Parts: sequence; structure tokens; C-alpha cells
Amino acid sequence: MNTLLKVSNLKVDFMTVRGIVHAVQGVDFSLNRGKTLGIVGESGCGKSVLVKSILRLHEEQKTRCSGNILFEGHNILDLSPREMLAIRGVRASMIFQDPMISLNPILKIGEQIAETFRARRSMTKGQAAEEALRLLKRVGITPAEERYHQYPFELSGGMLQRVVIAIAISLEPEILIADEATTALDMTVQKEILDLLKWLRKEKGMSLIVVTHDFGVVAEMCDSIAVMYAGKIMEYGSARQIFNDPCHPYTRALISSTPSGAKGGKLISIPGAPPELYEPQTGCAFYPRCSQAAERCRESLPAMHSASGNHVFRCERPQ
Amino acid sequence: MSTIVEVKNLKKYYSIKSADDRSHKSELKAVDDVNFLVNREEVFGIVGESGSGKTTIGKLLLDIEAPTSGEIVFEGGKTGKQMIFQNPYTSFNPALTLGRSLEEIGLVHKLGKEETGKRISLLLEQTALTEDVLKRKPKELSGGQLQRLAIARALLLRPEFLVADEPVSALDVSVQAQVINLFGELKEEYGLTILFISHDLTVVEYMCDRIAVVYLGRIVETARTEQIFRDTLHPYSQMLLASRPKAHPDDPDSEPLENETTNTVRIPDGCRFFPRCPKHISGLCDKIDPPEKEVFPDHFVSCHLYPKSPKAAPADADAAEAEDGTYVI
Repeated sequence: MNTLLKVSNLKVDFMTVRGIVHAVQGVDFSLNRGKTLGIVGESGCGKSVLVKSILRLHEEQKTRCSGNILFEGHNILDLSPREMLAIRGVRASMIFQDPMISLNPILKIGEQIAETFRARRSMTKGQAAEEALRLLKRVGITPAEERYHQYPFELSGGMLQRVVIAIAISLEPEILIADEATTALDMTVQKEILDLLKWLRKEKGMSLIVVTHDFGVVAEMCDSIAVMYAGKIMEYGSARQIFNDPCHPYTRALISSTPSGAKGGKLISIPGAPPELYEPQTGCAFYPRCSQAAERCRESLPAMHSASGNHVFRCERPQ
Repeated sequence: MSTIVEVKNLKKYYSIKSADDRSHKSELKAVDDVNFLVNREEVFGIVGESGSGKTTIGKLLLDIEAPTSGEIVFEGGKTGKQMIFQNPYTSFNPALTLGRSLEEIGLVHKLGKEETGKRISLLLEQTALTEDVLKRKPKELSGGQLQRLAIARALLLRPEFLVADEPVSALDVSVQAQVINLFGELKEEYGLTILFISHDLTVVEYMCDRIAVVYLGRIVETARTEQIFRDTLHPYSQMLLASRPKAHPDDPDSEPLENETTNTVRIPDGCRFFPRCPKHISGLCDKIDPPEKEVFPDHFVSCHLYPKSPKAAPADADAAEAEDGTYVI
């Protein structure tokens, strides 16, 4: 298959005043062209840190990255800042949860899109404006001519997220990373944005990485799923494998804590909270919250086991 | 079943300045003629998009806002109602320890130190928190812990009626499950009636006995939860339901929404949903505001697509398909 992105043994550490945070602790995955990977887990599990390191968005002085992020054969971690400019926002781009913060509040939205064309494609002011208008229409902003001249505060959250998507796809990237991009939106607006992303994937053959804590979004969008906990991938497989046959107790707990259907019995919640990641782990990070835990889970790091084909999980006591 | 709250013709209009002409004032009809009643010990859900007036309804019920007109009849004592908000970090004083925040309520309502302490200890136990959270400040707790404490605080005065405004929307799924379970337990324990405001249909379906769907300040459909999910009548409710992401990757893809969302302050003539409605009837829906009709017993809808008589079959094709004798009329 046509691999676009291959991440192997990626580790990300942050130097903080309280010590070193081991935010990502050896992650492997690969993503093919036109496919969608979902990364799920609770807050503080390293999902955002992982995807931000693909675009090298971390403050370099305070971050230590090791391993490989191969993007079409080139290791992103070895590129110079100059070479990074040719990738970030051009061949790979990212959208975030709050579109209001992603946009400049004192620039008209059309100009913010046109800016990209002028800076990166050396277009004239007129050409850039024309392209920006075309993009606004493509992401479903109506009436585009009028909206072009409006400021971010004049648009609703869903409209703003469309503007952010327009900027992100303006240079036709091969990969788009959506970090909780629909979490703050209304249900109907979320659907519109997800439909737009699906359309882009089909039309442009774009690959997507969707970071979310919502299993519905994952079911809707993803071909494969990585479940993250405490900086590690706990389970990885196709969306169908993860939903039909979840092997890791953490995955099972996440799925069963999502309410579904009519009023019924108690939901299964996960006691406690994800650990802080200052200390290197000696046992399974999920051990203190796990219903299946045994003594050996505390003592040794669980290895990755294979369930079937590409479906792998990191647990010594699966059910 | 007795009624605890009855809301009649409730309206709340805000006066706003127009963006184009600052001297020109117009009215924002946040809540525009809303009627409903809440039965004792039920969970009544209010669903809708942002800007539909859900939160304003909650605030009006708690006397945080004064209504422009209309009536709220509340059968309960002075300390009988409390509210829980979406973001627990902004609903506690950041400078006070949490213990102090809780004790202050006892002080204001003259519960006495001993009684306050006793109630706090009991509530901490019921919300699965430890005494040491009382020494901490809000920022030192996780979102889930602090939301549980917000619930404990709301129950300190033993209210009968609780308004919960998006109480689990900001929480992780695992924590969301804890808080949803907690509502269930405390409802039994204290015989609570809960008005549950949310945009998340999945949570509402799980939590609520009855549901009201609001659109631009007006209730468009009300029914028992299982009824409204089975025979969804109003096109807006149908749109909300259709926009729910699928539960399993093998589920069929849903159709794209036919109409663009519009976020408008201006309420159109006729049915307020008609500009977005894929089924609207020209000449009728854009002219006449549909009255509320009881299409099935206790299932109310404001839409021209449905006949007045409760016994007649619905005019809508989707709903008619479901008619296989399961209706109890």
C-alpha cells in the first residue's frame, strides 16, 4: 500500500520546572494515502502532543524528540527549520478545537485566506483574493462574497471552523490533522464539518488524522484507530476490529463508559485519572485503574501482542 | 404524579444594539412563549443548539434572570432549587478553599456549623470525594472532581429541584460516565427533580424521562424520551437526530443535511424553522406560526405537517412508516 506517514518509536519529552514529562513514550503507526486514523484517549494521554510533533509545533528548546517520523521517506525530526517550512501548512496541516483562537481577530477572514496564497504561491493581491473566494465557496460558506469582508467575531463557531479548514487545505496538503476539531461545535454543525472532511478526503485523496475523545466521531470517520494512554498506544487496529473486538481493558472501559441507547443501568466509569508522566513507567500505566489488573502488571511493562492481523494491544491479561 | 414546576407563556427579550447602526436597538427573543411542566422526581431534558435559549430557560427558572413576561409556578421552598453549570472552574471562587466555599452556604442560610459539617461529610462520601479536597483550591482539582463537588454543593441545602446546564459536556467520556451515574444515585437518594439542559442527544436519551426540543427560543416538540426517539415528528428534531454520529463503523452513512445552518437573531415570519426545513410548505410555513398540537397522547409538536386530531395518522412519510400498531392512542 501507499504509505504516506510512518512513525516509529517516537518519544517526546518536555523539560519543565517540575522535571521531565515523558509525554509520548515510543509510539509506532503508519498512515496510507486517503485513509483516516483516529487517535482516542482521555485528556492528558499525549494525543495532542503526538500529532503536534508531526508538524514540529513544540517549542524546540524545551522539547526532546527521538525516533522517526517518516513523511514520504524524509524524517521530519531531521529537517532544518527551513525545510520544515515547505511541509508545515503546505503538505501537512492542522486544525484545532477553538477556531476563534486560530484566527486573527482583527483581519477580515477573506484576507486571512488570501494571505497564504500571497506568501506561499507568490500571487498578486487580486489573484489571491480570487482564490480565497473560491475556497470559501468550496468549504460551504455562503454568501461567500459578503463573508469575505467580515471579521471572525461576526461568524458562528461552525462557520469559523470552515474558515480554518479553508486555510488548512488552501495549499492542498496530503495530510490534515484535526485535533478535537468538532468537540466544541453543535451536533448539526459537527455533522456538516465531518461531511466536509469526508468530501475532501474523497475529492483530494487527503489522509486524515482525527484526534478525539468521542467514539461516535471515530465510528463516523476512521479506517483505523489508535487508543492512547499515558503516552503509549494501548491498542491499535481497524475501526471494525476495535469496535467489535476490543482487547485492552482500557479500550473496553472507554467504549462502555459512552452512553448509548435508552435510559438504563449504570454506565461503567473508569475510576481515578490518567497518571502524571514525570516518572518512567515500570509496569503497565493503566494498572491502578484496571479491573483486570494482577501483580505482574505492576512489575513489568506489558508487551505488544497481536490479536489478529494488524490488530495489536499492550496487555498481559486480556479477556 | 404531581407537578413541581409549571411554566406558562414564558418570554425573555434582551435589547441589543444593531451591529450596523449603533443607535438602533432591536430585541433578541431568547425565550419566546415557552410552556412546559415538570413532574416531581423526573428528569426533564431540554435539547437544542447553542443560541436556542436553553440556558436562559434554566436561568429564568432559578430567578437568576427576570422574565419579560409569563409565569413560573414553583411548588417548593425558598432553598428548593439549585443550578449546576457546564464549567465547574468558573462556578467556584478561585481564591477560596473549597471547604470555605461550601461552609459559606451554611453560614448564609444559618444551618449551624455542626449541621453544615455533617452534610458536607455525607455529600463528599456520596460524590466519592475525600475530605482533603476541602483544603484545596478549585484549580488543584480535575474537571471531574470539581464537577462532582459542584453537585455536592448544589445539594447542600437539600433542594427538590435541580437545573443542570450542560453538566457533562466539558468532561472526558470516562469522567462523564461517573457524573451521569452520580446524578442517577443522588436523584434516588434525595428524591430530586432535574431539569437537564444539553445539546448531546446521546446523553439526554440516557438521562431523561421526558424531552423538550427547543429552537430559537420556542419549544417545537415535547414527549416522553422513548416516544420522541421512536416517532420523531418535528423536522428539526429529525435533523438533530440525523446529525448524531454513528455508534458503530458498520452502521450506514447518514445523508448529508439538506440545508445549511443559519445562525440568526432575526426570527422569520411563520414557523421559525422554515428557512432550514427540508419539508416546508410554501405559502403556509413561511406565513403562519404553527400552533402546538398533541399528535399522540402527551406528544406535542408545533408543525404544519401534522394534523390537529391526535387520532389521525401523521402526514409525514417517515413517521407514517413506523405505524405498525405500536401507537397507544
